[in-house]
This record gives sequence, C-alpha cells and structure tokens, in this order.
Amino acid sequence: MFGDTRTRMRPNYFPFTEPSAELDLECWVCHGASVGDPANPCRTCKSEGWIEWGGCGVVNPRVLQACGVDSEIYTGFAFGMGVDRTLMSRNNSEDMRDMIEGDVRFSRALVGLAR
Amino acid sequence: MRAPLSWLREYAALPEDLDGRGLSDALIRAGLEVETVDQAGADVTGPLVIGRVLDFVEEPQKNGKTIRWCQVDVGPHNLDGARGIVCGARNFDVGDFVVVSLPGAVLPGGFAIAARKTYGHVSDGMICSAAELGLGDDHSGIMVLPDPGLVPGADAAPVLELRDDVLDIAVTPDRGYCLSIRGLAREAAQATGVAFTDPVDRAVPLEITAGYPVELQSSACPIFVAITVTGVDPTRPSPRWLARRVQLAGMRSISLAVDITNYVMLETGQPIHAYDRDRLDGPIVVRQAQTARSSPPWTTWSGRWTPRTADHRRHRPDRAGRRDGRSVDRAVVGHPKRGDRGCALRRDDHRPDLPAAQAVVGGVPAVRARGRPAAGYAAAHRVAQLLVELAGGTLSPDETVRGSVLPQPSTTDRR
Repeated sequence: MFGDTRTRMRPNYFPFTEPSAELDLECWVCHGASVGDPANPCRTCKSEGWIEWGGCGVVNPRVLQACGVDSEIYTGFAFGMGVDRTLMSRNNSEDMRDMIEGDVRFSRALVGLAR
Repeated sequence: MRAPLSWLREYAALPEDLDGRGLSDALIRAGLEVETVDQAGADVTGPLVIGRVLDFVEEPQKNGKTIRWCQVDVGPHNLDGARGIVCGARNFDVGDFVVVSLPGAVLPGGFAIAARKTYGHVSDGMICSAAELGLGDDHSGIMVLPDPGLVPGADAAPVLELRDDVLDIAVTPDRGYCLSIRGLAREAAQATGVAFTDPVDRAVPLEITAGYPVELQSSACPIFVAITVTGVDPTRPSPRWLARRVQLAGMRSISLAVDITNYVMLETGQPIHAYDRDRLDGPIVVRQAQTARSSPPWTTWSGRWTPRTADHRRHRPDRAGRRDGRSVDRAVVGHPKRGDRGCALRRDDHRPDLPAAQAVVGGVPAVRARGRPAAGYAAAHRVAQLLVELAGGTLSPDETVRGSVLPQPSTTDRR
C-alpha cells in the first residue's frame, strides 16, 4: 500500500480499544537520517524518524454495550488514519499546513494541472 | 517522563554497549512511546578541563567593571606553567578548582572559544559558569568545584556528569507506573532480558505511632509515613550527580533537601515532602482540600492556587493541613513563603547558638494515577537515607505509619 515506504506497527494504548496499536510511516522527508543528528534536524518528523499514520484496536466490549450492541455476540475493530498525512506521504509534502491553506498552486500540483 | 539512561542503569542491569537509542527501540517494541532521545551535553565539544586557580590580579576597568586576570593550572594544557584567562566573576579564590573551556571548545548555542584579546590581555580560554555549560540557569558566578581530589587538566565532562542520554517518553494512561524511574527501569529490564533491582526494597509495616504525630482524615489517602531525621546541615550543597539527574529529568536543582525529595519522587513515583520540624506545631493532618469559601488559597511553588471545584478536591486529596485548617506549606522545605528558596532549612538555623536543624520526612502516597501506596514507606526511607548520607543527618528510630495498604478484595467475571 505504501510502496517502498517502511512501516512500523507498535503496541499502544487507547481507552476504547484493547489491545491497541499504532502504525508509523518512516519519515518521507529525512528517511530517518535526522535521528540523533542535531545539526540536520527534520521539521516534518521532529527528528523522530517516524510519523504516526493511524491507530487501531479491538473495541472494548463496554464501548459496544454503551452503544446497545451485544458484546457477547459481536466484536469490533476500530481504526482511523490521518487523511492529511496520507496525502503528505503520497506527495512527499513537508508541511501539513500546505493541505489546508488553500493556495491554489499547491492544489493544482496535486491534480496534474486540471482546471 | 524524562529518564536519564544512567539512572535507569542503577536498577536495570543494562549491557554497557546499549545506548539510549538502542534502549529506545526496545521500549518502543514494548509499547512505550519514546518521543526523543536527547544526548545531553553533546552540545559541548572540544577541550573542557578542570583548572586550578594559581593566582589572579584584580584590574578595575574604565567601564566600571573589575575583571580578574587569572593564572590557571590546566595540567598538560599549560603554556609556560599556566594559562592566562580573563574572568569577570569574583566568586572564587586562589586554589579553587574551576571549569575551563580552552580554545577550540564550543559551548551550547555554538559559542566557540578562542584565544582573544580582551581588557588588555590575551585570554587563553574561559572559566565557565553553570549556565554557560547548559547545566542550569545559575549565571551569578563561575562554577567552583568542591571536590578535593580533582586533577588539573583532566576532562571535566565526567566530573560535571555532563553527558547522558535522556529518553523522553510520552507515557500512556494505562501505564501510570512508568511515570517513575522505577517503572521505566523495570520495563527496560524486561524488554532487554536483564535483571531488575527494585528500589522499593521494603514492605509497609502495620501502624506505628512512635514518630511525629499524623492524623489521617481522608480515605483517599490510604497511608502516610513520617520519618524524622535530626541534625541536617542546611548549608551543604547537592552533590553534582543529584543536581544533574534532577535537572536532566526536567526539574530545577533548588537545595539539597528539596533535590533529595524530588529525586526520590522521580525515582519511585511517590510525591514526597520534607517538613522543617521547627516550623510544625501540632500534628500533620491529611484531609481533602477545601474550596475557596472555606479555605484560603494555597501558595504553591509556582504561585497561588485555589481549589475551586469538587473535581479539584479529588485531584488534590493528599494535601497536608494543620488541625486549625491552615496549611503546613510554610513548613515545607523550599517553599517560597519561607523566604529561603536557595537554602534547605530556615535562616535561623545558621545561628550557631541554635541546635542543629531537624527535618521530618512525610511520604504521601499517590492515590490513583501513580497509585502504588505500598511504595510510600520505602520512598520515605530512601529520602531519610539520602538526608543521612548527604546532609549529615541522623535517622531517628521512631517513625510514624498511619493507615494501611492491605490489598482490597476485587471481583472479576470469568468467562
């Protein structure tokens, strides 16, 4: 799904799922080179080398009960991912603010100059 | 939570060649969100050495300042028996050990040291303050090292505990125990398959009332421990390792007694205070904080704070108050209202005709977020032990343990 981009799945905690995990993408700007190199910081991943893309988990039965779903019969899988970060990764964009500022030059570049 | 690697090593037998980044990878696999690994002290490069002041001449300048033209022994780095250095500070004497950055060194902020002409002399290096080395905000004078066994010319970084890897971890709410060095060291030991030594090394005894009187008036606080240490010397400074670790963990070094309580709090996750015995009158009362109508605002270390809602009260159940409803804050060592922020115990204690100061240690266990009440007793003893070792105190055999931490029965549905 992400082509050559390295991904990392790691356990995490959310109050509404158990167990839970998060999926990180390797930073598409520095590719991890900024980690431990204060002379060349990466502003996109804050020199962490990874960017959190989404979180997921098995829905806590109490959440289902609160929604009126019989947790003895049904289980749930919850997940969500960052739309803007997906776009950033796809287009190697460095700054999330470009997505929302509405500069037409940015948008045009994404849609291949379609009017 | 900011965890210096050297501190984690005290309780987890991590391999020597494992650095902060390697441990970070292991902890991330265990589900801990390590955000960054700071290489503390890495912004100081080049020759930073121990110097010994051999001689100095005070020279008043036209701009009103008085500079000191110093001859400093830097061992193998000497030129003609010493180095000539101009220094603007005056808080040192002949024979003192100081920290010298020699030409070629770079200090935090990209401050490059070179031999340069200033005030009519060629200053062949710089005598450093704590602030210039990134070791805190003290810029009132240069650092004078108290250690007697120092060698001029030796690398100053180990003496200053300058370099350490610090793991900055965003602890998730299910892992409150990781808001302590103890919890993180246990995770680190588990993640790397090495031995863990628990700093909480003793069980809580049944109630004892032999020590300083304590009244427990809130069920939200299951246990309160008070241990008395007498003869604490308020003039002793914090040893460098203590001040540095507290600082690397994100707090300021204030004074020995305050640093010790903060150190043990960070280590065990137990909030803990040292009280000045001479300033306590009557028992320490542990009760729910009251709202503004019934109670004056607290003066906290960072300013005034008024519990406004029932929610606030829930969050601050471990406040100690005097029986008459006034707070014991003024007895808490290091409190600003005492007017002696930089000093461990009150000023009067410096008068030679008064007996040596005493400190009561109160271990206030956390209730929920970090809730390991059983660690409170060991934490209080750890504070007492450090006050004895570092502040010259004597542990009183009489102690107080109010409340109990007997496990509450819990029920679980098994399917």
